Amino acid sequence: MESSDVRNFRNFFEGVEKEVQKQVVGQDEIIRNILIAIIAGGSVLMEGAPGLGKTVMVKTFARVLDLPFSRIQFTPDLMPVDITGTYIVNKSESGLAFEFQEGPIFSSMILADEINRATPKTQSAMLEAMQEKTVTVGRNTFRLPDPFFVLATQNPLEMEGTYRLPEAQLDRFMFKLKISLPSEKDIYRILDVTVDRSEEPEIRKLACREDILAWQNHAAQVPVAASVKEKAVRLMLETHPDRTSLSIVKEYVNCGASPRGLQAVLRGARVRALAEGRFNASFEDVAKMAYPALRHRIFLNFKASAEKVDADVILDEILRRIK
Amino acid sequence: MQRIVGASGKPLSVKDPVICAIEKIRFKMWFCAIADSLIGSALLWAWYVFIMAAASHLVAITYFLQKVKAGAAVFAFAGLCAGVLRRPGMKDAALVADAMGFHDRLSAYLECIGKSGHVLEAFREEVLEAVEKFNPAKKYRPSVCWKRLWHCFLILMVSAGILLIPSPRMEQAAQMQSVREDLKAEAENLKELAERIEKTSDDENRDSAGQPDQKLSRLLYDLAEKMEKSTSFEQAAYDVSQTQKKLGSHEYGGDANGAKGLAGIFDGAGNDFDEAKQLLEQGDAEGAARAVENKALSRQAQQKVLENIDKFRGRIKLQEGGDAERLLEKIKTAAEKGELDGKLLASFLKQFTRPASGASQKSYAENVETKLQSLKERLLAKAGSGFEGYGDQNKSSAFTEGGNNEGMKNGEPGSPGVSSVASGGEGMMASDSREAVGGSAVPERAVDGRQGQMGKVQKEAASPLPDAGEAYSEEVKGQWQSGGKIQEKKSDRTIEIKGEFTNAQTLYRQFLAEGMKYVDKYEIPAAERPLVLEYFSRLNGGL
Repeated sequence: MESSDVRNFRNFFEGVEKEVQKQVVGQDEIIRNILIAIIAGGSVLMEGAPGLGKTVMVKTFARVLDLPFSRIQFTPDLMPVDITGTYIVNKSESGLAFEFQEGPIFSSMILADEINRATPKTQSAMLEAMQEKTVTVGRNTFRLPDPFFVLATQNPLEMEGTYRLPEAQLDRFMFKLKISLPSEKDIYRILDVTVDRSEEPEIRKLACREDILAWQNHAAQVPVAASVKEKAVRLMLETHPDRTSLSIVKEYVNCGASPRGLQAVLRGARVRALAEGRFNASFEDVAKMAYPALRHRIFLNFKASAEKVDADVILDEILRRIK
Repeated sequence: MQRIVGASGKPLSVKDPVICAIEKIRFKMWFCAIADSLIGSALLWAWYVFIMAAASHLVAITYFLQKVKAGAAVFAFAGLCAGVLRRPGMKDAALVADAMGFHDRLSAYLECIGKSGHVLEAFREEVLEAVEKFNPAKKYRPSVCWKRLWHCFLILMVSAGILLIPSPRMEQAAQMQSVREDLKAEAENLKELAERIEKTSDDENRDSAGQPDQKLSRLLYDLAEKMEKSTSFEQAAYDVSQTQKKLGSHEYGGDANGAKGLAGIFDGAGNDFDEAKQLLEQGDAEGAARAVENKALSRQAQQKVLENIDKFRGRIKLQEGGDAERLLEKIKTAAEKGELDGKLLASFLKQFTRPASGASQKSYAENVETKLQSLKERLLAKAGSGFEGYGDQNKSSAFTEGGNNEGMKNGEPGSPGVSSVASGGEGMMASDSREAVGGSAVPERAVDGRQGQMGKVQKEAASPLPDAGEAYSEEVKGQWQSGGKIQEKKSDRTIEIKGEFTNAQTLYRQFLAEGMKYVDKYEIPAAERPLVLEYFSRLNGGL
């Protein structure tokens, strides 16, 4: 890919966005962030009430990007082998033999629907896949296809019969996106697209697996100035109550973001810069990516819950100081 | 210096517009930093002036303007140095340019120098385009901190206002400054004199070994140094007096004053010795020796000489263990035995005759001493107008004048350190001053009935004393005397012989002792007691 092709990234990115927006209305920012996470090679946890188009969104992405797609509906009785796959006895010409039957995880794009409904044991089956991009069954380790990313959804309302994702697993998600109710205007548009139309909108395939890998490679080369990195590090450190002088952090935060969160911020900032038509990541990109990349990595205390202070409020304060 | 290379590894052109733009911004920032430092130092200087102005009302600050000017120079230099040292780096300049809407492009551009890749190539092209469209170097406007300048201006205005408020300390400082100026000028004169003495090849300035005598010039240099550091005429006069003493004790083989002191030993010895006496009074010890060499002394004359020797022993300055001392002892022994003759006296008197080279040295020293004497008188005269005595009494001026000015209000005996020579043997003059020693016209302010005659102070045993608490402690009630006219008469002896020095000291001690007796004897309010004590201890400079 030449430098002139690199300049086309913005067109590609906007094309994909528009294509997904044909199907998903009123979630432009979410679509953009999911695409950023895909290009950056990270997984996304989407949190929102039922019926906001989470599953449709993921399915649409799979179609536009022409990537192998699997959907796993997490339930309390779901077992790890139901995700990873297992060895089965297969009869062949040479006789009976154990053969590995791949689970739904062996796909490029995984929709982990209502991930918080599965037991921690099952949830943990996702850990290795999301971080190492491998699956170990028995004594054998299997490499997952590249690109690989998990788009998980969770419902914050129905807490009964759910298992809160452990911090270790939350940290594996590059972004956590909060899907909110679209605006009234967008709801009308949703009705236009979904109810009033007799046919589903035509979704074009705009990229393939190789394109995604190439873009991932280019995104990693986007330069980030040392001053921007410095600010990003400060941003991360400021989320820690013992490393900041911000009273809001000291008051409401139990534990701050990890270096993995910082990596996620910078990776996202690089892709965002490309999407904006720039070839370097600025602090503006870092600031924009700080919310989805750090909000699930800042662990708030009970006081914060009681006073309805969320991680975004904390990040607002930190960014105000760093700017 | 960092070598800037492009993606191909070749050095980037110096004309790389991005680098040039950053360089230009950097220089602008540097000038801005220098200006900023200068403004900062101006602000600090303004505070310095303010503090000085405020302090000038509390303590006497001499050379205020010079100090302010020196402060300005120091602060300006420090500000300039700080500004020069605050030269921004390329990264700093790039960051400033980035803040103009370049989204961290320029700082990233600097970091990507020497690296290659499709994305980086596209990035460089993009940055070049951006810089061409919007040249940050042209758009960058260094900002001067007007707020600081205003602060500076306001502080200076306030300082000027403070300086315009009259204050006794400021007046005192002005006086002190004037004193120092005068003293410096006098010190310069002394140095010139010392230099002349040093440079002279004349035999007059050679010691007995024929080497240039540096003692005299060293004395003068030391005095000049002391005078430069001195802040009062009185102190300077005291220093001059001390130097004169040192000069007097300087051995030049003979001593005219010593010879003069010997004149008294012939008192009552008979007419045969009048010529020797006169010659001694003129300082001619050699002539006196010749005059007595062939004279015979009667038994009575020998006894008189013996008595006179004992009487004037204090005035005759002799080197310990020297020939003169031995001869004096010999004379005393001979006189006791009745064997004293003119030859022995002549050999004794010859000890006060200087050798040829020493004679010229002495005249040189006398010349210096004359100059020092006139210098001291000048200083004391200046002290009279520039130094305020205790309780606003300008007593030193009266003393300087030798207390002989008619109508001088503050005539009092000078301190022993300076009065001895300053008065030059004039002695105490009666004054019609109300506060003079003796001859007071107003009884309640005069000093206890001293009769100001011819350098003598006579304390009356029953001098009236003030009621405790009514009068100021220094205002000792005295006896009224009509007239208060100056009785000026030069003593034919006191003016000439050094013995007057002792008298002045004695006078002072008497006066001081009387003052202290008064302090001890009478009830003085506790609050004013230290004041009284201080008055007597500081009388005439506390000497």
